[in-house]
Amino acid sequence: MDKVILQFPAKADFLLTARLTASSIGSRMGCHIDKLEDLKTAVSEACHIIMHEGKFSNLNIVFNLNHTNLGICVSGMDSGGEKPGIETDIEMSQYILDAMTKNLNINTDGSNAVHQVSFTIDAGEDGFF
Amino acid sequence: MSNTRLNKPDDTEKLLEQYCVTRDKELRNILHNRYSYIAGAVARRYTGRGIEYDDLFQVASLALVKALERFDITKGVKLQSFVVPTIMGEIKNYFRNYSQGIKTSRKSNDLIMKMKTAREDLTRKLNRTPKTSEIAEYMQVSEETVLELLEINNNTHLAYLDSETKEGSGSELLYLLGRDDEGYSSVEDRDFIKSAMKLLDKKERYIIYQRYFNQKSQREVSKAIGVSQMYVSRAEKKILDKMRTIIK
Repeated sequence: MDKVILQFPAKADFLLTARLTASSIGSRMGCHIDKLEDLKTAVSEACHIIMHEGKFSNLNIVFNLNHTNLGICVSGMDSGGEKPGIETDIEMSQYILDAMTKNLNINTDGSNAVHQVSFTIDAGEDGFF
Repeated sequence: MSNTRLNKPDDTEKLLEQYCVTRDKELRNILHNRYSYIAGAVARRYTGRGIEYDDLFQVASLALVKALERFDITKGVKLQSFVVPTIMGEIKNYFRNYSQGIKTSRKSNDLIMKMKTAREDLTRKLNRTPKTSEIAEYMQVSEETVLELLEINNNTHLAYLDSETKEGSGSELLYLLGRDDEGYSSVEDRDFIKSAMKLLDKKERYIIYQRYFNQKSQREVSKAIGVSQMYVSRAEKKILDKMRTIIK
């Protein structure tokens, strides 16, 4: 199993970096282009959910590349930097993720802010397109 | 998790329960208005892939209607959990069916995707453009299938009629399209009519000539030959039938 870890500031500007990384990994795993779009959307939604409350200064994404699926875990970290937050409808993001991914887990911390979102996407399955 | 749908009236859940029992269309429409934000939210996530947001929103809205009609509250599932995948499925279907000008089967679409991957992979590996046989071996399909896929792929793009046939040539595709030359059929038609007219008597020939060559009305023809308009009408019908029989 290969693992790719990406850490970036919790700012909207860096979401593109997360999307491009996800897309590149998905492409290496053999996802076709439509599924890559889904993968990018899922990663964006997960980042939005964590960035929403503005409680974290950094985001950490771990991509676990398995033979049959891609496991993704997005978590928020507070290392003292800027925490701008982001305007988003997290309820909708959750429904989207739920429909798009498998094994979705959304974990909240003591203050009820989401600090971790994890899910898997099957690479070989032809369910999306 | 905070709820950003606070502007939704509180009675929505009750209306939904009521709708699931009565299936009243007016109720469905009210619910559709209240939940249309879901259609918008899902449609927005599919923008930038070649189809306008307005079209996607329309597809999503229709999917919302379908989802509401199929939703069963007794299953214990939240409406949003049911509606979101339904809308996503409909939008994906729409992409599959309408993002191409010419539709191809789903199987062909999938194989074309695989062929593109195979082509890129093999080009990288071999450092040159792969042969059909190599792509076929890579995809584990026959060479004929690869050729067929190439053909399908090349024929799914629509060309604009005003596009230039060759860059800088100034000649538009429209002018290269073939069409039936009406001149030929017109010559044939004239020949048929000429031979049919020969077989009519003098009066019949006069009526047809005045009606169809001189564009005279039945009344004008009837006055000229001293009969009623009804007579000309009946005679004309008979003559035309006769001419049709002759031509056949």
